[in-house]
Amino acid sequence: MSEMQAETKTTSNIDDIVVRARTDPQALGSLYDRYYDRVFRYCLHRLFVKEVAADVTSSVFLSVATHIRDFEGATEDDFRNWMYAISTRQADAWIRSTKRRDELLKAAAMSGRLKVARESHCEPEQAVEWSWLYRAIARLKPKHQTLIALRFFEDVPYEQIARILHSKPASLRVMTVRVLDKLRRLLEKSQPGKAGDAHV
Amino acid sequence: MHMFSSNEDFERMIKNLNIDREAPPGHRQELRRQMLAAFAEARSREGLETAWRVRLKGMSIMRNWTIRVAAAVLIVGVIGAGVYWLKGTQSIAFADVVRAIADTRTATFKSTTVPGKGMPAMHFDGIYADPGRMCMVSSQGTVILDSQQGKLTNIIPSLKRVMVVTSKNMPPDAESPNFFETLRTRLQKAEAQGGKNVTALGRKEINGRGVVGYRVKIADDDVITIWADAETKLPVTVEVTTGSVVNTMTDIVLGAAVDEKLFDPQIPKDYAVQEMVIDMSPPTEADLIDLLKTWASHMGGKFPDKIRQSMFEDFSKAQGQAFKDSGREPAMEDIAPLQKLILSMTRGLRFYMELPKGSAKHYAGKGVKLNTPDTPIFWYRPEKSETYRVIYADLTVKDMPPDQLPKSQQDEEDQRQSQ
Repeated sequence: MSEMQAETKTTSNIDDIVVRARTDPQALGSLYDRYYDRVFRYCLHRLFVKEVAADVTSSVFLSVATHIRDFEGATEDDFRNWMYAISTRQADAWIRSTKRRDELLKAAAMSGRLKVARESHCEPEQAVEWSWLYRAIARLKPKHQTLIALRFFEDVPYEQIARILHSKPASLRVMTVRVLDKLRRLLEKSQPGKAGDAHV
Repeated sequence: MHMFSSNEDFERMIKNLNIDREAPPGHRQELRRQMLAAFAEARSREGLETAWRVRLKGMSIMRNWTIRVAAAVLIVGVIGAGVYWLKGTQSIAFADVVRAIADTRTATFKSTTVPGKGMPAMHFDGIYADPGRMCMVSSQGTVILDSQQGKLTNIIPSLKRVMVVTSKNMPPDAESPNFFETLRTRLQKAEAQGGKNVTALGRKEINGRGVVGYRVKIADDDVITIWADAETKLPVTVEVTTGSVVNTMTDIVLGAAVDEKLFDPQIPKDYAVQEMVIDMSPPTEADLIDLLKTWASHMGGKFPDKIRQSMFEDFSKAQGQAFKDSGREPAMEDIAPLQKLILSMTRGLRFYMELPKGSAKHYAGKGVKLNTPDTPIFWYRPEKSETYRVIYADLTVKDMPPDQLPKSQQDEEDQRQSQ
């Protein structure tokens, strides 16, 4: 069997599982095993705090369990997009209130201070800290945060992000340039010693 | 501090991040268990809704046009294929098929139910035994029906839960909730009527077996299609289409050996038991008023836009959203009272849907708030009555002659009389 045939067959099998998962708990369990890490990782990238990411991951899969009978897709691509869409909604909902956003940013700030003290031996090129980057990303609009998380952390192609966000790939490409530019400015502004870093 | 200057640079920067991506210990396993329990719970609710959809046949359940059309095409296709007709022997053969089903004391079969458009199929193994008992075993659990006791027991192992639904005030002429028993009664009635609603579908092969088919029209949206072995006259497949609900039986074995213990299972002590009672007496105007009151008091004080089957889905979603808005997912303890509430509301829907065409019913509650003064929201003419019953937004009821009805209804009344 050629690689292409094997890949087609595997895809077809997973598509079958996606269809069966509407009624079959075993199939749903298989999809869970396949997608748990991906969803948790995405939530972590959006929410920074591990416990919060775990809570939101729970909300995502419980939502999937109760709504999968209404899921109209028939392929793994459809399911993946659906998962990312639900995860995005749940993550956005979590950080919607200012209070919760502040909690995340404080956690990022605290983590950053501890890390600087602990990891001062890092090489300059690797010294980019996740907490520092997260604090800058968190200042973007939710849709822009989603775009950054999907494109750069999850490596999702623009065509797929377009389906998740109900947008057009070309628009997203243009948007990415603008968002990265803004992110760069935010990062420059928040570099240690510069104004804007002290208080989050 | 390192800074990026291009997309590629940013990608490299992300790759170099040192992020601990390990989920909290035990979270994966615990969430898997919770998710599958939630799935079983959702399926359990769905099963209950489906049972009601079947019982509320002939109401606004005609959502699945695709299945209806597909079924029609199948039947027309079989006829159009020119397979030969069993002219002259048709009614005798149908009687043979009916007799085989009517005389059996036990039966086993596989069942597939498609509740409606785009909805996933539900599968179960069915075991029937006289008198009126049925056991349905699926991957989600076991449902035991006892039509003589009017009792349904739903055992859900994944939730360690048993739901016992008992019906009261069942009218003597009501159809049994036992699918096999209802099928048997309907076929016997069709045969007793001289086969006037029976159409022969001719002959074909199913899995190498020669079979003959019959279509039995119970009502416009209620059809039984049965294919029986051409030699033995024993049923091979039976498809029952009730509105948008399609139930197909295959692997049918009549007179099979059946274990009586299946109908009286031992419930493990650690299972939670939830009991509900369904009032099957004919619904009344008071039930409709209760429905309107319950809806308004749970849905922001406004009456529903329309009175129809799908309103309960809207109601369930809104209540679920209310839980989420309060910062938590509805727990199982929250779902049981909600199920009871919806069951009680279905009586009001039954009253509304079962009003005959001549009642000139009219619903005008869309956008109206509970207790808005002097605002009629529903009116209808009871059978053999000269006056209308008018329900107001404060849920009081008045008798009203046709010439005093709101204008739109007056127009309809004039039109009705002119006809």
